[in-house]
Amino acid sequence: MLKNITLGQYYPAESVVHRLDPRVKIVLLIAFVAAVFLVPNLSGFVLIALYLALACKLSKLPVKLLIKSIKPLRFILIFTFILNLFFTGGTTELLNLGFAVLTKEGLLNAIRYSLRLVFLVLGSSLLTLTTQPVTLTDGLERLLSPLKVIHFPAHEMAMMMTIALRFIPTLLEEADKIMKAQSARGSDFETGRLLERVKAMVPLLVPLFVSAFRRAGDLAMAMEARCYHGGEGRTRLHVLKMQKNDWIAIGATAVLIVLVIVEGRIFSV
Amino acid sequence: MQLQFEQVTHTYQAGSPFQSTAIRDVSLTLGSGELTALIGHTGSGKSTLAQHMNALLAPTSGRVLLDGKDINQKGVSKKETRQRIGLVFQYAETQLFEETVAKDVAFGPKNLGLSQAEIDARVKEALHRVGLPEEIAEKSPFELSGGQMRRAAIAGVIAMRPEMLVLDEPAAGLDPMGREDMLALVRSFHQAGTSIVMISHSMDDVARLAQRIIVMDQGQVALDGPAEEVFQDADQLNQMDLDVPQVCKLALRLREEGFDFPLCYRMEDAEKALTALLKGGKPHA
Amino acid sequence: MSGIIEVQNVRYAYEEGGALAVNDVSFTVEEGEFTAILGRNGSGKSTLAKLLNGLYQPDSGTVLVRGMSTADETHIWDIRQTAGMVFQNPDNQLVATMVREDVAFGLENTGVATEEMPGRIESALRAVGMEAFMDRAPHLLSGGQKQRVAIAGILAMRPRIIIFDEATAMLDPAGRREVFDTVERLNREGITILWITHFMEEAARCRRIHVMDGGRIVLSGTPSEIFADAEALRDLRLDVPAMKQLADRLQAQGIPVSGDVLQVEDMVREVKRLAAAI
Repeated sequence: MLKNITLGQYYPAESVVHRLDPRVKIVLLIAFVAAVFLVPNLSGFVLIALYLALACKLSKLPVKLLIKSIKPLRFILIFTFILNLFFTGGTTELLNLGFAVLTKEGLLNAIRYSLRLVFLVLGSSLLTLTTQPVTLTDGLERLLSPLKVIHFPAHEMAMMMTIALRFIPTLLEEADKIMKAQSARGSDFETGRLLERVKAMVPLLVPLFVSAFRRAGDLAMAMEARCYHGGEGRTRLHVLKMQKNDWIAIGATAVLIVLVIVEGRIFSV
Repeated sequence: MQLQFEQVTHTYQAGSPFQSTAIRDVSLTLGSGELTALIGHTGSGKSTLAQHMNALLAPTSGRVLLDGKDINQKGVSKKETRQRIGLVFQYAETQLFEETVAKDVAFGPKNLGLSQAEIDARVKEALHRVGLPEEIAEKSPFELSGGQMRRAAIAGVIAMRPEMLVLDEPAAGLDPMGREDMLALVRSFHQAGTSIVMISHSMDDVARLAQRIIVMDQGQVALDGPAEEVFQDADQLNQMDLDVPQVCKLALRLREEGFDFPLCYRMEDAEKALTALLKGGKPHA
Repeated sequence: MSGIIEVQNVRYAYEEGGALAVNDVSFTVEEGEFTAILGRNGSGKSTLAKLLNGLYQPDSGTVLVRGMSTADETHIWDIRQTAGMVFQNPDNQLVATMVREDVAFGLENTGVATEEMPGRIESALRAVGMEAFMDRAPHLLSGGQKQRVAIAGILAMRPRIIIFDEATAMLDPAGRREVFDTVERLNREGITILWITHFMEEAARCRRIHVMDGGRIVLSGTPSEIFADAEALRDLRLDVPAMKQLADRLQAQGIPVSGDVLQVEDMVREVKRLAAAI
């Protein structure tokens, strides 16, 4: 049944990475992305690869799962590789196919861009696989809360995301039920041309919207009855506190960035 | 008309870690003008079973035969199956979507490809059969009261003129009189010649209405027979966490207390037995 | 003596000048009581419930919760903390994606200190027998379990009274029993209960009943007083419990069954009494 769908791709495990403060994980991901784009040389990629491998190892995630996260990207990867391979230009000819010339610069660029993509996807998968969506929301709210000064609704945004996460399974189940109820009245959601199929969605979408609005009204009242009045004066069940491991992770990432920059000055490949 | 289940098993999300078998090896024959109640607690598989009756779900193994023909076979029209076997979901009013009640009721007949004249006639008839006044036809379904909305939704299925009507908890959420009215409505469909399968939690309703009772437990048919017989197993019903009718509970308790009391489930029978016990009963010693 | 809830001449209409959903209602709930408000769909009982903790404001008349008027905005959060509310649809009142966090919701809103929360959450969940489900997602629970989590969310805020707005209407019999038994236990532990329902069997288990119809309270009394007049109840589109019906039939046959019979156990007691007298 639809009840059992998993939201996000959280993979439960007991690991150092799972336990890191979500704020730290978000910031580190940003730093990591910066490092991936800063890195000029292939030798720098080795450093990043080592860092990533260590993080993956510590996360206790099955390797299969990580590989699976790259899989949807395989066509873009191949495309990027080929595009860079032949259209970079450059002077060091490796192979002349007549209709295209393979240069050393092209090959290096192709490897560079493909690796960047892989690293980006792996890095962000590492975040979503080791962090529950709610925790992520929590981390985002805390990170963005300084922006409240300029009236950025950090709390409201996080509350909205939490409620969405809570209600997506409920609404999916409801959609399934309504779809079946309309099918029982001879509705056909599966065949027909595009326009017909779009029209066939009306008997599903109208009841779904009506229900979602009713639920929203009910929920607003229930929240009010439980003394909800916005983020002001609110305490939290989970208080995020930086632990020793959080500082270690920050330190390690800082070292990576420094190394990547320094290494870029020393080596040229 | 006969609907036959042959060793039907249904497993949700087979092969995934969330795999769960909702019904197992169910064999049944339904139809031929019966008024059958399908009972069982939440999660007993009765809703899954109901969705097999008109091919909304296909069995993982086993077959469902309508007049001898496998309804999930290629080439058998699902639309025709669904026309012949109408399914009214729980809280059916949530499926209403059209601008007017009439248009909503017309949705099913329209999908069947009927002529406009035929559709109009059917809408009129269906509204009449569920007891909604004609002037409601041009109103928005969302302006109706809860009970009326439910009737309008049932009319939408009735308008397809099914030979068998499967109703999932038609009285859920209604107040006592609303409940009475709904049961009377179900009875009227039956009297008009439609086979009925009514899914219900309420043993009191079932005791009053059904000729045959099928009890589901853990995905399997636990009891199946005429009401009198099924309620003889009141102890077993209790064990399956089903609420036996109050009268039945009383009978069980009195037997526990050592009275020679028949296992009845109807008010009239209890009245008779108690009158005999307390009035004509034993003469003074 | 004033009660924990005092309702005085309250009127309420959803639209200005529209039909009154609650029409001149007055009643008192005493501390520790278990009171039912019984009425058919559309009788105004749910509207009345929402007037009791300031979700709606009366057009005229007053509602006092422990002496605080719901019209007084400075007390509104005290009132809602004192008078918690459990609603009809179990799906539409749980906010968080995990049971523990949902129970925390009210505590977070009222500024309870973080250190104090885990203890209060655990004892609230224990009180409704849901402590084993602390780390579950609400949408995977049964209807009865969801309602018990909703009750825990209210209990954690340490209310004096809980208002149940048809909290069992959408549950199956097992869920209904599960919730009602929990509520009876809470009442024995001192929490005042206001139980809004259209189920006769539930109302029969309360200590006091107010029957509503057309926005007014038309009957008030103990269950045996209320159910004594079956005709009057049927006129209000309500019913009497099955055992009461049976007792009435026996009385008509000349068997002197007590008029107080409402539940199976009452009838068993009466049959034993009468059989012994033969």
